[in-house]
Amino acid sequence: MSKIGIIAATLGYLGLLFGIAFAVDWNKNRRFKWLNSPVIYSLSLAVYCTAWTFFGSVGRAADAGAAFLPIYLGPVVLAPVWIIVLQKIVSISKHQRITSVADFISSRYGKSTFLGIVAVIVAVFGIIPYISIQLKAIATSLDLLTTANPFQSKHDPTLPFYADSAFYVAILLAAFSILFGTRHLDPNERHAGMVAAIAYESILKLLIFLAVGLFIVYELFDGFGDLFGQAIQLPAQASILTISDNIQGGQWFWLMLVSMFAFILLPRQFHVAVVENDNPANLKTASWLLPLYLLLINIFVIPIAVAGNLLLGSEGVSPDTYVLTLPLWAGKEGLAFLSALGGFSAATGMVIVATVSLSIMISNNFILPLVIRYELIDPSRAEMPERLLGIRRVSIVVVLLLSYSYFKSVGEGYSLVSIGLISFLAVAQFAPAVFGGIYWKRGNKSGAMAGLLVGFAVWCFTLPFPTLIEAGWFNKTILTDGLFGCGLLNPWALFGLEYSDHFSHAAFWSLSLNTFSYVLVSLYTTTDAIGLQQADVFVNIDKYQGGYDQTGIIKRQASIADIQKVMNRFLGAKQARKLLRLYEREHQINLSQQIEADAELIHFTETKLTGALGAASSKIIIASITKIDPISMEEMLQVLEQTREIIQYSKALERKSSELETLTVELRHANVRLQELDRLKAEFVSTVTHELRTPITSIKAFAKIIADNPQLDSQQKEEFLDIVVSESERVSRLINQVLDLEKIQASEPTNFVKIDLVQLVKEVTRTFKDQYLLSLSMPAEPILISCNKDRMTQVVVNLLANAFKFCDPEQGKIEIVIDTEGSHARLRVSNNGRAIHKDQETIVFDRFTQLQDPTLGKPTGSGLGLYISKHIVERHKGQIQLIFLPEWATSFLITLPLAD
Amino acid sequence: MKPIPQDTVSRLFVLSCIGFFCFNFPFLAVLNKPILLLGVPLLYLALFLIWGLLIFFTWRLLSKHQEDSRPPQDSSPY
Repeated sequence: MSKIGIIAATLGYLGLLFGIAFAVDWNKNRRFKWLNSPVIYSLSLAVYCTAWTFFGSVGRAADAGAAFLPIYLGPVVLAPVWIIVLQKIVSISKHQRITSVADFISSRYGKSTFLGIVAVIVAVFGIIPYISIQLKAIATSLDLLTTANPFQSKHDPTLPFYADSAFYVAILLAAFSILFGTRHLDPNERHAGMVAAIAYESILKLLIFLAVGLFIVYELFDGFGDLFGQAIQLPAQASILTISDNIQGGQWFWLMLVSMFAFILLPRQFHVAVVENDNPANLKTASWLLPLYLLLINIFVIPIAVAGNLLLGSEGVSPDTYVLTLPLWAGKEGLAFLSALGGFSAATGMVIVATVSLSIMISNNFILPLVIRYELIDPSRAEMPERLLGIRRVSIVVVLLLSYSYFKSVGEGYSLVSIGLISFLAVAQFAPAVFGGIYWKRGNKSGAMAGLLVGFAVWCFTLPFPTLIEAGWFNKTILTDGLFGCGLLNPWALFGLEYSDHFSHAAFWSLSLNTFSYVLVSLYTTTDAIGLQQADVFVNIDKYQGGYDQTGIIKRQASIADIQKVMNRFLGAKQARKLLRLYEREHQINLSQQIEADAELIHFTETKLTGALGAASSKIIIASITKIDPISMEEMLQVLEQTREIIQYSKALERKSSELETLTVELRHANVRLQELDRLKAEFVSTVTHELRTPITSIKAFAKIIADNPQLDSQQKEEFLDIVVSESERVSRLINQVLDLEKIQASEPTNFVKIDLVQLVKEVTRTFKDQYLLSLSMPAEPILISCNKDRMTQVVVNLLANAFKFCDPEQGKIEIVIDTEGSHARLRVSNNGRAIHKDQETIVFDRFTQLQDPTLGKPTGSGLGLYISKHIVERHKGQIQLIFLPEWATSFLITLPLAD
Repeated sequence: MKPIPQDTVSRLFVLSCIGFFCFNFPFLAVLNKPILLLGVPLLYLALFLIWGLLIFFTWRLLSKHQEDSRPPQDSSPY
């Protein structure tokens, strides 16, 4: 075919594409309602299928059979859960006005400028090989169509760039990308026209591929049966009908995994799937429509590969060109041209979207954050939108020229697929930061940075670096002996790991080290306030979508004038006026009458700026005009103060409550004691009156006898009077003891003095008349105790009185023993009189206990003596008890603490 | 967009897992035989069949909630 005709047709095709895009942009929001349809969205996602798919799949299949499939099976397997994962990413991106995958990462991790820059570098260097294979595919197909003998043709790598069609292809694509993506600045980064053109291209490349496939299967062969029937006869062809041993397991798995990530994280995929998404519900259709698209475009890959191998295998034609060379071989130039057009549309679609999305990244997350700091206050600078578009146009040209250089120096020696995989693995390095970022709140900036840098470094070292070595840029011995002669640093066997293929090897090391770095560094570092806020927004996006307070804890202040200034600068004066009027209308305020902008207006401005310039840049701009840093010291202190007060108040309440509780318990106890005392008192009164009545009754009776019988003889009268006297004494003793008891119970004993217990006992014994009964056993040295002397004397008197009382005046024996035991003094009083029964042990110390003994007649005591004694001893922290010694009838033992 | 019921989410997740299982070794080794079925290699026939089933079930699960997938009114001023 003539060169001129082909170039004209190609330009015409591009013109048609541009016409579609232009018409859609022109009529946006008016006629083309179908543009929002889920079908257009799904077709735009098919930008995943590039020249790699169109030419490269067949090339791969011709060599390795099913090995071309995993990169489609990955997205297909993930498709059912897009509605969960991808929808979350879309919601976050709408909320945060995300403009690219680098912006997404930067925004998630505290709107970090540096992280954004790293992500841009990874993306740009990752995608350059990918764009280079598109240039290669286009250039190869152009050469094939124009050369006299397509089967001998080989692209000449020594061609100077000005004679190389690929160079002009690069320039042409740069021009069209600029036209598609950078005609004007859209605050939402939406390019409806571009999306429509991509969708159109997706239909075109699918139809052409199917047409070529049908032609080959049904024109050159008699259907599938014939084609495969021939192939299976030949051992070399039969092998590509199965999965060869060397791809099983490892490589297959890694290809699927990496392509799952790449489908979402490739800059162009992220751009069409997330940034251009205007309705998350479109994902529902895409979840099944896109896998269907991928199925259709893959159906004829193996048949074409087999046919190519059968018909052209001996001609030395590169399998990557079978789609084109088979129609040429059959003499169908028209179909061959269509096929080239299909490949061209697949490649242009990818290049346009990829360069536009990269240019957005480069301008918003790389250049702007760097220049804004220095230029912000310089009013002489032009308005930003024009310059922003300028930056993007330059970025597009630079990216394409870099891709061309890569193609020139490296790309020609490799197949399309092996170079494409380099790019896939590069963007897969975003996976831990992105997917970790939306589900794991602890993931932070340091972790993302560490993961990305480690992953990127390992990727560089294990995939693109060897291609540069093979291209002759570095010493080839590195591939055998390792870097600097260190065997562990062999790019194809890192740390001594020999893997079946280089891609799996690189994927294993880069992804695992990346993930571990991300997780471990996140766990062992802290996050700043804005990082925490962004983490919360990204992980819990549902919470923020229902009009939740978006300003969060970060409160800022800026003047209205500054707000207007930055909006004019970065969005253009016209756009700024429009936005501010809208804000005034919505909030029913007049900004010209105000000086200070409230937090909401600042947030509004930041959101609008983010949409146009990316999160990192807009953060810098807003920070430059807001007076106070994210949160003022005053506010922080206020919040802290409030918290402190609340904590103190709550602590005080707790204390009060526990005090009340103890008090209640005490009161309850007191109440019980009072009731008990009341009962005892009543009992006591009734007992005392009863005890008083008995002697008084007898006094009364005998007095009456004496009074009524004056004739009584004097002896009898005397006897009766004696009884009256003794009973009176008993009454008075009883009354004295009751009074004593009252006194003792009412007050704690005071006037404690140190006295000698031995001395005290001696003094007491002297007062008793029947001295001969006593035997004393006591030490010579004094035993000092601290006590109230009168009370202690009373105790000893009581005990001795009891002992004498129950003793026979003739044969009775009383023993008093004083000694010490440890820190206590002991006083034992025993007698051989009447024994007290063991079962009476507890009651002898009760009030009014009088041991009834018929042989001794009427009891003479009041029944209070032992009770009072016990009481006094206990008040002296001592003990009194009845003990049972075999040689004595009754023994009382008093134990008292010694004086210090 | 109306949130997807938890039940459907679980089913989609399981569907994805089944896909991952079927499209990976060692399961693929079952299909990896050099024989033709209906004139087509068994491996490719089975792969594309499973692929089709995945598409069908995804469509079935998601089409139940299709009714409100109209785009929202664009409130932006552009």
